[in-house]
This record gives sequence, structure tokens and C-alpha cells, in this order.
Amino acid sequence: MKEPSAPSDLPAPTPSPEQPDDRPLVARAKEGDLAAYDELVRRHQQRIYGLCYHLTSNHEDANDLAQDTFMKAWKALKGFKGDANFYTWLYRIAYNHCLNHLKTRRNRTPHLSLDDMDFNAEHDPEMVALVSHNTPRRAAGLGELQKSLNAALLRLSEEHRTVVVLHDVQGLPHEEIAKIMGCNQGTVRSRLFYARQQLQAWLSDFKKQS
Amino acid sequence: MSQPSEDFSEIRRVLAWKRHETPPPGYFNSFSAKIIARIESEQLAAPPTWWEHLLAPLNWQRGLLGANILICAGAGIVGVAAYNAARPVAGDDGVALSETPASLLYPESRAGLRTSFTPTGSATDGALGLASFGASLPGTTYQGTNDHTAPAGLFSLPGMNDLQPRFVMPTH
Repeated sequence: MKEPSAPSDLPAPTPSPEQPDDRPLVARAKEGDLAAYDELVRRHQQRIYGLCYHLTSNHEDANDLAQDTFMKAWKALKGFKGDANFYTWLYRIAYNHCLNHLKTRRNRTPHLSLDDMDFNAEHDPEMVALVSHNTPRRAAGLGELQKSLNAALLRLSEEHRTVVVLHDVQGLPHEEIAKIMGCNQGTVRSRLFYARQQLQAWLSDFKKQS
Repeated sequence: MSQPSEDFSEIRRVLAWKRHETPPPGYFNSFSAKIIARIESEQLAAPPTWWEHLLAPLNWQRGLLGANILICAGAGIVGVAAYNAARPVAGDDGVALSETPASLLYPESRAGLRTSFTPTGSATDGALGLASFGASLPGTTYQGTNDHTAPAGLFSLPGMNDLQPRFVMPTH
């Protein structure tokens, strides 16, 4: 397997949700305005789905969990006091719901295929540098990398996996992650450090085997 | 197994590629519509109670205020109506109107006055305007005629026209 190039600037993670103020929409949705809630769903659906998917590595489960998250949020909307951002509150619902799901289906095998990667992944220069240039082997390498990475993530505990997904995949800051998970920032940092250590070890093994 | 290093740049790069793991194209186009459809179906399945329906346009605070206003207004109306029903209403002659029909119909019922009206009548009766009431001036005996009975329909009690008031002054 070709040695990867020297680490360049890290690809910028998905920026934290700096988006239009949700409060007017939330106020209308609390009064029963479904059009306002529809707009809230559109604003946050990708992130909530992403969290559910990266925690479960399963598209079907992620679909159900994401829908259930928004249904729960609608029913609990009247109790939302606005002391936190709406997306932080939504994330928390999704996180708790996924935790409950994972506890009941702990032994489920991740179900994933190469089609789950979008077009840009195959042509990402960093990804290309990590796997073979040969098209068929590169495709296989991508698939192997994807499956192996997700398997490594599933070996982490739900809390460690969540921290890695929220920070390194979705780009949330430590402060927001602490609010979502109901812990302090120090706990977030220590969990993140441990999870990265475990995954780094996996990556080294993967490269040796490739 | 290699020793883990604290340089996590490579693994962070690999993890960032997970952003490319997306659902099939067009998945999010209908996602919110499915959520709204589920909400609406659940709302249809559980119709609101009549109380919820009544207060639905109002928040609970305005509903409570409106209820208080209605209760106070209703209490006021009932109170005024009860007061009016119990209070006696006076007529122009100082005699309670409620007494007038009985006193005219049954002169004996008036305290301290014995009346006996014999309808023989006199010319002065009409001038004095007393004939219809069967009254008489002191010292006179009024004897009216049948014409001095109460006009038909003045007092609507059954059998009224058959009753001839008798007003007899004691003779000296």
C-alpha cells in the first residue's frame, strides 16, 4: 500500500451550525404552526441524520432514529424553554434516543455499502493518497477503509463514539458537545483523546495490513 | 500493535472523510414532508376534547381572563334581576300598585275601611270622577247604577264584572 503523503492542513470539518436564528420559527412551532416546524426540520435534518448514522453505521436505523428524533422534539416542543440553542436541544434528543437504541441492539452488525459514500469521497486527494491509484483497487480500498473505520468506531463505547462523531466528523465545539452529552468540557476532551488513541492504533494496523 | 501517538492529524483526516457518507440522492428532499405527515396523522388519530377545541384559539391565560369576565358579568346580571324582582314599585297615588287591584276589587280588604257600593249613582259622581271606584263623599250615600262598574277589561280577573263593589257610609 502506498505510504500516505505528509499530513497537510486538515480538511476543515463541517462548521458548527451557524445559521439563521431559530427562535422565531420555534415560537411559531410551539403554537402549532406546522409550516414553521417543517422549516426547522429542513435546517437540521442533515446533521441529525448524520449523528444517527455515524453512531449506528446503518442507514435504515439512522432513518428511523432521525424521524423519531423530530417526532419526539415536536411533542416536547412546548417544554423547550429556550435556555439553550434549539439545535443543541435537538441534538440531545437524538443522542439519547440513539443511546437507547444501541443498548437494545448492541450486537447488530454494521450494514454498509460503497454506495453510501458520495462522489466526492472517491476523488478526495487525501483519500486517494491513502489507497491505491488503480481504479478497481482504489474502489476496493475505499470500501475496505470505510468498513474498517466504522467497525473500529463501533468498538468504542457510545460515549467515546459520540464525542468523535460530534467533534471530528460534524465539527461541533467542545462546549456544545458538553451540553449535548450532559457532561463538562474536561470530560469531553478526555473522551476525545482516548477515542482518537484507539482509532489511531486501528489506522496503523490497517495500513500495515493493506 | 504500534504505539499510539499523540499526533492525531491523520486519524482526524480520515474521520473527516466520513462526512462523505451520505444517504441516497434525494433522500432529504422528502424527509421533512414525512415528518409533517406523521405529525398530522397522529393529530387526526387523537381528536381534541371539546374543552381543548374551545380553548385552542386562545392561550390559557387569555382563556382564564375571559372566563373570569363572563362569570363576573353573569353574577352581576343575576344580582340585578333578583333585586328588581324583590323590590316593590310605588304608583302615583302612593299606594302600592300591587295593592290596587285587590283594594278596588275587594274594598273590604283595605284595612280600616268598610265599603259597600250600591249602584244608584248621582249626577255629581261623574264630575268627581269617583263613580268608577265606587267611592262616596262623607254624608252621602252613593247609589250608582250599573254603569258605574269598572270598565270591561280594566281588571282582568275572571268574574270581575259580576262583582259589584258596595260602599256604604255610616249614616248619622
